[in-house]
Amino acid sequence: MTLRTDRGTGALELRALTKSYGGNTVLDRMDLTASEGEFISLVGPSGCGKTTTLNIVAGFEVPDGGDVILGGRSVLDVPSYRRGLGMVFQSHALFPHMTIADNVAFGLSVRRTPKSEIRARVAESLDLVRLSAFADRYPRELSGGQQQRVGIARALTVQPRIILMDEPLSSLDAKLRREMQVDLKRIQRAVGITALYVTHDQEEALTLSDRIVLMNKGRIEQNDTPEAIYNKPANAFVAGFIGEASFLSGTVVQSGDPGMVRLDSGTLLKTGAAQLLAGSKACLAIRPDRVYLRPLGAAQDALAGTVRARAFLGTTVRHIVELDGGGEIMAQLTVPESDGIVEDGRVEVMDDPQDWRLFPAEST
Amino acid sequence: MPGPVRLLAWALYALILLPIVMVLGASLTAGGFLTFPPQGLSLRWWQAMLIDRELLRGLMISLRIATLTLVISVPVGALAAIFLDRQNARWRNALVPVLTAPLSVPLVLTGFALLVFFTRLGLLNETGLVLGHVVVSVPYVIRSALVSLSLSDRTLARAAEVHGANPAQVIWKVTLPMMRHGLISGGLFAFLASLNNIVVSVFIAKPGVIPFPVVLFSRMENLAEPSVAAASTLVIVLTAVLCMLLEWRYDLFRSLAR
Amino acid sequence: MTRMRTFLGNSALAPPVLTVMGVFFLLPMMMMFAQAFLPFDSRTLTGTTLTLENFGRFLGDPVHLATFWRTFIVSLMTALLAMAAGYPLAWHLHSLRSGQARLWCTLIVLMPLMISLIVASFAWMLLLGNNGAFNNALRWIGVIDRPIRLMNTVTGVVIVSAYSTVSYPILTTFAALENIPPELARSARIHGASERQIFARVILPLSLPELLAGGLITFSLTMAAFVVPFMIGGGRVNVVPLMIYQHTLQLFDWPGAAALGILLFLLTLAFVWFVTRLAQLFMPWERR
Repeated sequence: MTLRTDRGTGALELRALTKSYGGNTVLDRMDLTASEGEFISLVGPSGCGKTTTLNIVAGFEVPDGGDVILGGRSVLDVPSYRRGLGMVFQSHALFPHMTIADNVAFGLSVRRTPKSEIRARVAESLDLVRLSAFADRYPRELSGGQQQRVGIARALTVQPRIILMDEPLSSLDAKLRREMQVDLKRIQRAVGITALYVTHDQEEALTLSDRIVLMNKGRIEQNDTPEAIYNKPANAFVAGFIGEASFLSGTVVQSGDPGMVRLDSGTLLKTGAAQLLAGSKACLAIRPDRVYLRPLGAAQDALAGTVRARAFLGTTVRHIVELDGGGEIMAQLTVPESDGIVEDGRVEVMDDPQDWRLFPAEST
Repeated sequence: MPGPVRLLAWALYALILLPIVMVLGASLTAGGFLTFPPQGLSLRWWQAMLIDRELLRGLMISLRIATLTLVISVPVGALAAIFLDRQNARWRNALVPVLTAPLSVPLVLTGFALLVFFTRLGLLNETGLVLGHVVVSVPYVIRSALVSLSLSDRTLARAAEVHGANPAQVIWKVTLPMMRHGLISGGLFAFLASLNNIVVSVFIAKPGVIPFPVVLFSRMENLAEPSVAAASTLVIVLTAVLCMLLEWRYDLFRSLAR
Repeated sequence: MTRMRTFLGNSALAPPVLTVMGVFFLLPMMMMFAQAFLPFDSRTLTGTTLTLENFGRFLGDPVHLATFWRTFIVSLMTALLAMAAGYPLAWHLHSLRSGQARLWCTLIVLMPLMISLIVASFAWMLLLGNNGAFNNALRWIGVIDRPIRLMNTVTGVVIVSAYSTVSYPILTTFAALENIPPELARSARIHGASERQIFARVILPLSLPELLAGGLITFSLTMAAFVVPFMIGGGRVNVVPLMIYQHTLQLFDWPGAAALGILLFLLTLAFVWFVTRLAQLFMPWERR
């Protein structure tokens, strides 16, 4: 694929980026390295600094401190239009007065590229996003999904060092969004381009990324592969943000592997490896798909509760269980597993200690 | 924004203000006729204006007509805007140009047509002037009220209705407050359009009821004494104070300037 | 009671405006329109038979045709001048960030609309006269030794007409500039466009249609204006609205005035329609 660019290794490096607005710190010494061809998602709640990071890389904003290194060279003193980037916007930001072909050609025509080369590269880009038939249409004649594909083609045509994407799919409806995720991944793989992707949708990030950078309050909470971030969250915040989790609080009774925790309700539980000191307050994060329920038997000191709500989700059934002595836990069971469990019924929560992760309490 | 453009912009702002400053200055001349810069400073032409009964009378008539025009055209325009807002897009697009037609028909034709009509009805008097001004003022109110309505949330009226407000209550308690901004700026424009109106007035005015701008117009033919500048200054100051007052009280131009 | 409420709530909305517009606008217009087809007699003023002679006596006379042409040229030049002056002002207004600055500049820009046309023309008479401030200033600098004649000329009429209507292109263009999403400029910037290129390729084409719309308002208003030609033109710059004024109030030739009015209105509409179509041809993205 000739759209691919090679300008050295280590496509992007952010060093100790800091930015604050009127005393409100948005980015706090953030470091990040992206290697060639990597798809990196910046994820986090609003105000976590992900969009600011993207805007600093794009050159729309100037950091208070730190450095942005593109292709081995600091670009802080390089204006946006000379950074050689491509960007896809949430609002598409297509030029309404230009045809699709002219939109895609924009980056080349402002660089005064010869006409014949522009034609060839525009054709190639449009082909890549499967919109060759729409070259002479205007943006408003296209659907939202098609417009966003034009946006992607426009960004790729300039053969950027990296492509920046600012929640590009969030204006599309759910079904189209899933289709576009597949398309986006296919195109990025085909071109082999480095991508920096901002989203608040954790599911989207899990689907698309080689690496997820989860941010909160201007700092990186975890920077890992989707699998690691889902299965081995670094702290309670990560566990709560990526995927779903219920939280129970208690006190560590025995440190080591296996550990022991006494919940605030008094129940004693075996857990996975506990690196916390005995006696310290702790928080237990539990994925709903790692919880099993069965109707309450005669067992003593079981973790028991009452089913408060049951929701049928198609292949699974979700239960909200109010534990005796306080606390709530979510359980997602397959349809056969949920057989015999009814609303307001008494249940026993079966633990699978390896999957219940323990974090220091204050990090919630 | 490039420096030269900014410089040009400032020069143009100055050019817009220049004539206004000149009228103010000219009214203070000590000389016997209008010049700028004034020949010495005095208030003699302001005194002359204060005993000029034709000018003062014109001013009073204009203020009275403008007030009546405001009082009539705001409710009429407001109701019309609500009516238009409730039609579907096709009807609305067809009706808006009809109900605001006086904005697109040359004013000189409106004035002339009213002369033809009012001559038949014997309305070439103050009533006729008010009616004529209402015709050209209502479209301003309709337009700015429609803008306010299109910016506001349409479901609010439905929310009021579903929670038990009758149609009149919906208008009084929900729709009118929502379009307040548009009515104030539309009303200001209606008032000023009447106060400054000459094209319609010149056709309808008859001796005895001559509004201020027509008095000025008639005196222009034999170039005026500086008391005219004094009276003009008075009208400019009145206009400016009105704008500032409304701005200070209701953020009149905030929406425009946003 | 309920029916009464419904009436107050819905059906009472339209009658007031329909009365005002129907009785005091549409009816007078129709009566004026009818006048145009009645013969003019200087003794009895109007006859009763129908005729097209009123149109013929203006369209067949080169002097009157020249007046129509002059009116058109004055309006066209006025619109071009107002657009040329309006664009930089709209752009400046748009580029202002502080709310306070925007407020004051908006007030200035609205001034020509707010103040009386008579007062404004009157001030310009002080400016443009042979001994006016403008010529005095130029003489003082030493640029000229004889005054430039501006009063009683087409140039003077165009300048003052543009002054009195410049707010329209400013407001329409300002609204267009404000409506351009900021992402478009960002998107242009990151894909390699310099500030100059962003302006030429994105901002200008997207604001041009509204500048033109404002210019057309200026054009239409000037086509119908007689105060400025009367005061600044001083009888030397005859235009159709002035003729209508004279035919109505001095010659009492109402049929003639009505015919002139209809012709003027048609000419204005035709030109506005023509320019709009032409613009659509060059701006295909605007076509609905």
